[in-house]
Amino acid sequence: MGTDDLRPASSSSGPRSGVDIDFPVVYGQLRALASSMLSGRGPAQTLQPTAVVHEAFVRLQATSGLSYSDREHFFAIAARAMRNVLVDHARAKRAGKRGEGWQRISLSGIAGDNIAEDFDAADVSEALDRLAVLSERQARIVELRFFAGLTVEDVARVIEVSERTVRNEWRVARAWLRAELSGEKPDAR
Amino acid sequence: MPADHARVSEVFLSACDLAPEAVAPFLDEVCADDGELRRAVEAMLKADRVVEDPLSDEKIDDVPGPASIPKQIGPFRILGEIGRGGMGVVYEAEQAAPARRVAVKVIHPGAATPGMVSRFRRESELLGRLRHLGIAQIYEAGTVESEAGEQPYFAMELVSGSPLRRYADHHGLDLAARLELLARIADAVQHAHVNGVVHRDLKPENILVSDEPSGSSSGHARFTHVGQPKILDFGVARATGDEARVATLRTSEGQIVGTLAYMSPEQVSAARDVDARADVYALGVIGYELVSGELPFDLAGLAVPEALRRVCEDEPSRLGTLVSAARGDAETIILKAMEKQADRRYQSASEFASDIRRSLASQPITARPPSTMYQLSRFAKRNRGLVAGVAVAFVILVLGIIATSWQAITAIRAQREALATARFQEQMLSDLDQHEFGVALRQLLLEASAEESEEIRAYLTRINTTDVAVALLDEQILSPADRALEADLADQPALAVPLGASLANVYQDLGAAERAIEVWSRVRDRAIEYFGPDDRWAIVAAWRVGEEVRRLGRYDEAENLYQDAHERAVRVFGASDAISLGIELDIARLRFERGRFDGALTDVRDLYDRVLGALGYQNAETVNTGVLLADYLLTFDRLDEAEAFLLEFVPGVENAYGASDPLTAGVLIQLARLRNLQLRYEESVALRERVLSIYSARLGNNHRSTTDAERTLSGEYRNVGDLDRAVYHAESAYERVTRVFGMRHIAVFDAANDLALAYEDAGRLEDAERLASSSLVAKRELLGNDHRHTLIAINNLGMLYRNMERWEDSRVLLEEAFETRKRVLGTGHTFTLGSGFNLADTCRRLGELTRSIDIGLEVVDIALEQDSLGPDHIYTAMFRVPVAEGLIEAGRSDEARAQLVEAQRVFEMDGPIGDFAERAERLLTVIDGEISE
Repeated sequence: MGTDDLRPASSSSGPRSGVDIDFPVVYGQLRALASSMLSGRGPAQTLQPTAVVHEAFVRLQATSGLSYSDREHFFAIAARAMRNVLVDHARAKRAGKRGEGWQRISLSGIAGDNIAEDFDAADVSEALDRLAVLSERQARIVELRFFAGLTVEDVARVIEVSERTVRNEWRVARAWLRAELSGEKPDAR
Repeated sequence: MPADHARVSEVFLSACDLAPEAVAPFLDEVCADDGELRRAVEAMLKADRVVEDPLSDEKIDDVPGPASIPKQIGPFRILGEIGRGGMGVVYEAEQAAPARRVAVKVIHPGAATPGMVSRFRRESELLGRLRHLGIAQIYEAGTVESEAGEQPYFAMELVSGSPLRRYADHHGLDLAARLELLARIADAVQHAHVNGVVHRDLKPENILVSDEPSGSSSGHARFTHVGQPKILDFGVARATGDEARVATLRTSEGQIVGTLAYMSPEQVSAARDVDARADVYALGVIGYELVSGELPFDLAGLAVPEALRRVCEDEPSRLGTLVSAARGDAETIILKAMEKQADRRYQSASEFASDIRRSLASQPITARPPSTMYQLSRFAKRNRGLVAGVAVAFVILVLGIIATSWQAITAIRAQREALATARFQEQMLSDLDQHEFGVALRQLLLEASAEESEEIRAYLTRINTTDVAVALLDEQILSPADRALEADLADQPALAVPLGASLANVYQDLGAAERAIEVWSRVRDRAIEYFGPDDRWAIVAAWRVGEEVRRLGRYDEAENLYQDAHERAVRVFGASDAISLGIELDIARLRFERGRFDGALTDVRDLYDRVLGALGYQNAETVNTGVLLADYLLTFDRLDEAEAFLLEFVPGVENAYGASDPLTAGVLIQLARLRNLQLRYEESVALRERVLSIYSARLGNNHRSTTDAERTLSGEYRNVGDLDRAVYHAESAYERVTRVFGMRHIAVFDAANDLALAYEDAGRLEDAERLASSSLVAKRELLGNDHRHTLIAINNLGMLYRNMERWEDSRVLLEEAFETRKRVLGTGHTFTLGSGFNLADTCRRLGELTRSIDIGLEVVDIALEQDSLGPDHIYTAMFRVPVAEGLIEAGRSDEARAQLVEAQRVFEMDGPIGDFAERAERLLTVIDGEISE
């Protein structure tokens, strides 16, 4: 996966920001952070992407003058970066030892969703790609909620639609993904 | 055929909130024979139920433990499980030798890394050394092999007791007992710190209090009923290292936030290494919660970054607003422990504990530099009888209201007077804190009356003790000092002049304007006589006299004094000297207060540049000038310029003086005003809260700046419609201001004004009227009818009567306000026009249509002529609307139409103001409707 693949299409159309937040920087931060948090872990550890992203935000804030008002912009980028981090690791691990490692992520990554069922990050990402074909917006909402832990309000601001739309689309997308990942195949093709 | 995703989404959304039994019929109908669609939706509904069904919720922060309880861990026989958390499980266990019950905490295998295990071994020895009544003793630490791998464990003292908060509530502890409990916790923390162990995760859940009272504690005999707190898990955070933090982050958002509440800013931002002062911070938070029942920052439901921001940036609500008994020392101590910067906190847990104990013993605390009066009031508490005697003697002496014979009291007087006079003289000539003075004296008087007779108490309730205190001070101390200066020091001008100046300062601070003018004038005369008119003191004294007469609204006199002083100052010291610039600043203020704005803004800008250039940010004069400049910009509605200026000025001042300096607060007030004018009320409320907390911490609750900050905060809460808070703060400010300054001080009028407005908004019109009318009476007497404060009061009471539909009363006052303002401020002043605008409306309500129209048109015409307003100003447009209403009523539709069209032009340009744009549009429709008929 080349660097060019990592640059999200959204970075130019995202919210304006006083600080130029570079995707590679965020990506590097997240990857380093995720590695350090998870190195040496035993099996069955789950990673909460939201926690990693928030920690990265706090650190970047401390070191790069990122202001609080940059957070939406940051999270929009971080969501994509986090997804890549997780997928990279998942694939690397998959290539090595199968069935073990930290790449299992929990769909409970979002506050208020207390479910403990875990999915493989690479699987989630692939399913998300399929969802993007069906509804680009739903996929984007999932990405923001799921990988960056944005609230409904924040997502609404980032993609510039109403909160109600976000809430509805999120519910659809989440159900679709769950069905998809558990092999129920909601949309036949 | 694949189902269309948009259709699937739509059907799913319609179905997902239906009752279970309604789903199938719905799908039958919607999907008809589209099997793909139905299958897709059903799969999603099934997935959705897993997510939404509360019964399927599994708490993710419950790390699943081993299915069965182990029989033995190391040398300990396990008896049962006590509890479990994110890190591991705690068992009750039995040790054979020595024979005792212990608690064994086993770190969950998943949470233990190889690095942790080895560090754990190193640390366990250190932890074993901690031996303190307030710390659950760690007996042993080790690792045990289990099927999941190596598991570290701690064996520690088995503590029976209740968690801290429950204990305090259950036993109904009062404030003092809670503080004692807090001090005992701090003792234990200190013990660990001395031994090189920082807890780093102190929170109430980690503190148990034994239910049996501990008679043996280090505490005071009066607290023998308070149980002994014991801190659990001491050193565990350190022994387990950074992983503990990661573990916390991993568990769940709710838990992170729960822990965050007790974490210091440096801890949450990982900005620096965490030291013992992080525990001091946590102690502060625990104390805050223990005293008030609330956390200093409400982090519930917040996303992590927002929670972090609050911890790092927000100031906690003042404890005294939650628990009034905690005002004063308890608040000061706890907030000092919670300072954002570790350097500003207590530097150790023991400093914290001893300050608490000092406060419990009514001794001066260290939390702020204790002023002399503060120490005196402490002294008074401890030596109640002695001081009370003095106070009573003084009251009787000064008031002469007790029908006791003079002989009966001369004994007390003879005994005490010399002592008291000496003390007070010393106060007066060193650093008398005039704001504490009224409070302290009142306190003394009340305490005295409690021990003396009901008769005195009855008198005291009827008089304002601060007025008495001021009179007493004048009579007993200041006047004799003044006479002494005249008589004894007549031939020593070099001493008499500065002493006179300090005496005058005291009068000035007491709000005794006439006496201050008198003494300053004498200082000036004497300085001129002995040292010539260009002497520093001669110039300063003239300046001060000017300042006082300006405050009394005698503007011409003030202007002459200022001009003369300024001319001399420039000649003697140069134009860039702080005195010259200071006088120039006051001249600018004077122009501002008189409403003479022509060219003033340019002048103030120029002055600011010169002051900044000459003195830099590090000088108070610069800050004051910047504040005036901001004041001008805001008054003229030049919000963009004001914003640009303040965004540079505020950080400049913050850098020079620090974030919690009173000067910084003065600048933040201007920023708050800006945010208010920009309708960004949440920000202005937050800024005003910050200002209040700075003043309250640095100047004390009774300082004029603090009470001013509190009443303006009340105004902000009025803006956001939080009327409970608005009334609360206005009452609190008013209560304190009357206590400190007596009833006849300018500060009291401002406070009364805000309180009246708060009452008015809260619908308590009768209360508002009572307050507003009595304070208007006092203003007329004290300041005269033409003073701007009097005029504001007249106008506001007029508006209040209008709201009460007392139209006649309203008209009389608004008429007076309009006419007087025309005369004093000039016809073109916004305030004048505002009064006219209000008056026109009231006249219309009274049915005096012609009069209303005439006044309204007059106001519009004047506004049109003003440079500061003119045809394009939103106020001018606003003035037109009610006039047009009157004109329509009078059948003068064409004139009305002309006014409305003009108004609408401006509204379209500048946006609406209030409901005026709406009203204009409605009226135009009405007129056009009539015409077309």
